[in-house]
Amino acid sequence: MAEQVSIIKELYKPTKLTFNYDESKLQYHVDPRWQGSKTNIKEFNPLLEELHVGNYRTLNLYFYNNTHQEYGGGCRNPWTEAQKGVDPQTRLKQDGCVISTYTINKSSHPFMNRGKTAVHEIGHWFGLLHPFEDGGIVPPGYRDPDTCMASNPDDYVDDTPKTYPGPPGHCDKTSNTCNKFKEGTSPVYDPIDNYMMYTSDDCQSRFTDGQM
Amino acid sequence: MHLLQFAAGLLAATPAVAEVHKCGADGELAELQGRIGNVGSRLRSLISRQTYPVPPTVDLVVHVTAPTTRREDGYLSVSFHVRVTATTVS
Repeated sequence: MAEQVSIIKELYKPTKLTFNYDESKLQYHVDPRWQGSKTNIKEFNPLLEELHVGNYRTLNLYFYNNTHQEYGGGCRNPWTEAQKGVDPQTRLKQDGCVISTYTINKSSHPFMNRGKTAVHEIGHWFGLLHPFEDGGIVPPGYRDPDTCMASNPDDYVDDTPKTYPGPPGHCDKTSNTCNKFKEGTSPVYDPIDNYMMYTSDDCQSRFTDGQM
Repeated sequence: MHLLQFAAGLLAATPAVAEVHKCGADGELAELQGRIGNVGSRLRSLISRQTYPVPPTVDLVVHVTAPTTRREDGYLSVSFHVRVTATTVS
């Protein structure tokens, strides 16, 4: 865990966000409800409500032994639960991120094996969306809006090019899933190096200025 | 906001100066470019400092969990700070 926390601190340095971590307060919990087949943070709500520590300036990270290869974790962003009408006290207790231990540095996971899943999930905690997000403009009854549409605000960040997620764990530097071109000729490549994408850990290396 | 608009306008004007250069007004142009360059640089600096104050340090609390104390269930053997939150099964 110390190594995982070091990775988080290091990769967040460019954002000027800092973390205060006291390893002596590391908490261990054994509970059958932490079984690894869960793939939605909502399923963890009763556990989070029991274990949450601190206030909204406290980031609670829950590492659990997930058995799903394509689910690295989940995290609450600053507004979703408020929009759903969850009462403030419960909302605070449910705050935090669950992260699969399968994604920590040097794990055997084929593409989430450098500890960057935690960096991605914490990005959501700070309010970042995926660059391939639909921008929340989906009208009722409508599904799958085209994230490539000019009118779609995708992640509301100007310097993360519009993109589709692509296959999990890919690192195709030439992918231009929205088929966009600058000045008519230069491809606008997908932001595969962005921590908020679903690309491989080896591929990811930054947040953009707009995200920071 | 006005500063940003002014800066954007000034920076947008820089390529127009480059166009003038093609016409051969070298002496005056160099001086003009230098002055605009300095102002542009100053404005860029101001813009870059239009950032939010450094946010407070986030307290990080790490919870390591397991459904059982079996190694194959992901239990990490520890000798201290163990807090069992519910009935342990094995």
